[in-house]
Amino acid sequence: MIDQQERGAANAPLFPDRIVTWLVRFCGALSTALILVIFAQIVFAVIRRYLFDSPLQWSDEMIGYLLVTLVMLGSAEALRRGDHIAIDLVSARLRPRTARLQLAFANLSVMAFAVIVGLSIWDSISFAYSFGSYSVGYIEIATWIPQAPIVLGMALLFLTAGLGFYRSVRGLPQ
Amino acid sequence: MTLVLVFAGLILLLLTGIPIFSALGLTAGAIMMLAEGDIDGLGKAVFAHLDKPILSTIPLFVFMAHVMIRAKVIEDLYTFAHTVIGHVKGGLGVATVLACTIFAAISGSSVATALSIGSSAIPQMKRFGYPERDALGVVAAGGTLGILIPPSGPMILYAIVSEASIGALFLAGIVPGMLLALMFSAYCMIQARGRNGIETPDWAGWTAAVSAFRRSVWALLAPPVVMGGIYFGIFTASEAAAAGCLYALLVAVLVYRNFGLRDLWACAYSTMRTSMMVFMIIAGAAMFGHAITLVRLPVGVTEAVTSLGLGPIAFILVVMCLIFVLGMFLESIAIILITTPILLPTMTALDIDPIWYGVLLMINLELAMITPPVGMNLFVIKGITDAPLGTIVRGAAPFVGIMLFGLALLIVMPVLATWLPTAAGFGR
Repeated sequence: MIDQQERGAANAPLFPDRIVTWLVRFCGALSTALILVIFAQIVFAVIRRYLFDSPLQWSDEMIGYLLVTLVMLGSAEALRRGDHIAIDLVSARLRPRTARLQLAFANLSVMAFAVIVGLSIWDSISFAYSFGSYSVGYIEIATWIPQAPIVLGMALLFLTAGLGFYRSVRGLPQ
Repeated sequence: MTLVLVFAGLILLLLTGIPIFSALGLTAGAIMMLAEGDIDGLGKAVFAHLDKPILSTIPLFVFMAHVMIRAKVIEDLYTFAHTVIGHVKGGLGVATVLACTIFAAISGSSVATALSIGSSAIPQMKRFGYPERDALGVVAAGGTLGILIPPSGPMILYAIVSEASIGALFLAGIVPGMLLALMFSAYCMIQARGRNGIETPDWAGWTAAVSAFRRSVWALLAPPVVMGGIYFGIFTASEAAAAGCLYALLVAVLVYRNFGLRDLWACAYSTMRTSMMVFMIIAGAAMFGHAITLVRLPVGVTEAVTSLGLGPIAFILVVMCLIFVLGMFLESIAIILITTPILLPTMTALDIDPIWYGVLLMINLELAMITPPVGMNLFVIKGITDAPLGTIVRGAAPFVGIMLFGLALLIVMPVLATWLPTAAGFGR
């Protein structure tokens, strides 16, 4: 009985589990919407250029910024859904216990990746902010702003991988 | 020595089964820590590589393919090919190659091509007595045309890394792609003559052929919409991709009338998931590229090759052998993003045309899709048929030989790839 209760407690969803999953899914939805926004913007730019002889000067620059944002918003959702490619030449042949360890290691590696990129971009953002630099294109914007989504993206990636790590260590389904 | 250490470390990390993007990023981090003692610049490299408007072609072409698949525009393609050519001995094999070729010009993905066409073609071929091995082999090989015939996701990635023109690369892939499709078709007909149990369906008649053509015309028109815009200089690559999406949506909504807002969202969501997988590898490769440039690895390779006195052809042969071996173990996107920054300075030093090399690379990556132990198309076919991997590998083996012949032909005659882009005014 006690054993069953303990096992039940271990399998109960963690409090941050639900919040993180909701946040990641929400950001995934935003990322999906951004794909449609980019599509609409390019079509609009072509129509403006050919039908109204009035090209959208800022279109390319905006698409670049939107791309960075959509990748950062969507990468954690892709991780949650297990979409990121890995070479499973060895890992596919592992026994269940070793496979769990491999999964934990894979999640740790993603956490380390997120820390490396997150810290590095934070330095870049801090420098741009303190220096007060602005972009030189048609959209005059402080250069730290378009880089900021990377911090959010890496935080989401870290949290998702962290949950994956916890689940693999505890033997819970991913 | 540095090159060996970096590659050994990276391959070791990849073999642990961690995501490719994190293997690239962690290797980059380790190189930076060892060489510089900090990781400055890695985040900035990620931003600089993702902040490129041309990358929008990747999700847009994927989106276009998803819309056409979901609206069932693609299903009519195989029916058309089957109706027109199926009655000839070996014709079902040819129909499969034809459908793969046309679908390749829509999807830009080998896996999507093998998956979409294979689901219809394999049961049909088996029904008419094709040995399982032959049916599986032709779909696995036909599917690989997805990355050579434009639009092609891997070609876009190569163009971004090498800074070659995407339009020129797309056009350069057309003739070699058609040539390979022709060789595949010829082989299917020759192979069928040697098989006794194969039946051929009766000629359906002109009425049925015209009817099948009318149903598939919307899918057949998609490649000209995309490539015509680029060829005639009306659209940039991103605009052509958006035009392709708009075309696909209009066909789905107005002609097929089976596409609602829910489908739109489902297609966009699937596109997001597929694109993230590619974009994150680009992010990891950006970090890797930044780190190896900092330790002057590409320059070191150039100096080593120059000191060996290798000419362009000898260099290409060595590189092709290396990529063929890498292709057995690594995924094609990773191969492009890892090798191109290292090889590019040497190619420039040896005056090798990046467009020509790009097409050679694509054919080699097609080979990677059907060579074990890691061949994405082999796995896709296994996934949809549950056939033994050995049977699929044996079925695809003759096509490996044909592709190697095609690769050799293109090395000897670069004009096969460079003629069309030159005729369209690229590189003048």
